[in-house]
Amino acid sequence: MRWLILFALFLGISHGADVVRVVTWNLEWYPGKKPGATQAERDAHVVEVSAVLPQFRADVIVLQEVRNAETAEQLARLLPGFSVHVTSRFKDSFNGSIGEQQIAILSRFPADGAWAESWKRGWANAPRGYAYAKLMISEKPLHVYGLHLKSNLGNPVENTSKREDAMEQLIDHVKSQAKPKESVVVVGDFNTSKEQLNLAGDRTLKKIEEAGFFWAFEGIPIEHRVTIPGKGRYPDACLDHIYVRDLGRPAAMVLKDTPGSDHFPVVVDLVVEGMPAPNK
Amino acid sequence: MKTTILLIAAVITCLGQCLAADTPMGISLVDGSKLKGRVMSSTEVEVTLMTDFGLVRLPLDKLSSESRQAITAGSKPDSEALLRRISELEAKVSQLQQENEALRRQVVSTPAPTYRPSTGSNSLTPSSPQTSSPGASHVISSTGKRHNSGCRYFGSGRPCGPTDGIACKVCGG
Repeated sequence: MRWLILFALFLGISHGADVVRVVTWNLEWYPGKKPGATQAERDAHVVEVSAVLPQFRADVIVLQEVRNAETAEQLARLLPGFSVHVTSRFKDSFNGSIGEQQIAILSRFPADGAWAESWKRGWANAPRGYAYAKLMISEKPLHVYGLHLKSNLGNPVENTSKREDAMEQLIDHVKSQAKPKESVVVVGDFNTSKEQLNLAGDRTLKKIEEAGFFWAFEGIPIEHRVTIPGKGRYPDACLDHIYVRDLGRPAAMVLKDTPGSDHFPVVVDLVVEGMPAPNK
Repeated sequence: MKTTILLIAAVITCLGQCLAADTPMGISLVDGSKLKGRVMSSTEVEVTLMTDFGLVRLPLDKLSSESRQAITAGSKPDSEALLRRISELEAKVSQLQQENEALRRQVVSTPAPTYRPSTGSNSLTPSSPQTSSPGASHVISSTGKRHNSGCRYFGSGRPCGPTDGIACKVCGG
């Protein structure tokens, strides 16, 4: 109890503010952990994720690599009061059919609007797109964006370009969608990091920061923010990020060693100021 | 005097342990509350702590003067010079990244050059008069005039660069 009181003090919670816990998690081809997984593999993955998801005590969950709307709905049923506001239906760039790596936004808050949109062709033809929900928290909007930017498989020059192109489009969308001073949170698997030398030329993260967003991992050493542990020739990396605008300087945390995916979930507690009461 | 020395020694020992050895340190706030956590990082205005209940970012002005001193003292040596150097390097990296991006934009948005077979003596097919290729944007005529793809004289001639020959007066070349 004492800790809770202290925590509330530190966050500077005043009357009318809500603490909203946002979690982002890349679920690794959920369910099944790979394309073309067997039913047994899918079931095992569902059991793993179902066991941990309610433990996050989240208010908003943004998932990447969910297969379709049905699987997202199944997960929402594990969380009392939750509903799926949007599950994307991005097309696969190879065969044009609906892909198996979609983005879903789940929340216990109502949404004033929610949709997903593929990236425009732009200058680099980025894959997939963004999922968006305008949540209403104590009558105040919280704009939530879920991303899953281009992976690092294939040509590095093209991959970086696709991520940057997507980020430019996202920033334009934020400008048109969220009024100044309205809170915005952009989360997901950005597939880029600030540490890896091979990604040094990647300006994706720089672009969102230049647009006025705060990186919730600011000041946290890399060993405390590894979101995808190293495997083979790939080193430990921080590819999943949380960016906020008009939400102060929150600190995001990796839920290390969480079973269920090759990525770890990232969580952040946001203080969303409510609308002032009319008689104050 | 002895007590002061002991106190300073204790603070230094505590600092050394807390900041370097990654052990939790006790932090007092101006309102009298106490908190225990590991310092993840600190700046001129805030400290990021790993506490039992998660990561917390605290403005330094909420800390008691002793705690503030303990935290800021740990990051003092040469910090001015280091910060200056970091700023210089960041500016350099930023400049390189921008150049890199500009180059990437050129590479990604320029279509890959199409294969053009050689028309030399090794050609297996009989040579024919060269005309503009479907992908070319400029051609040069036998009179040395350059035409762009919108020009009525574009149809004949061989492909050329946008600055080759003399610009056609009709299309501007």
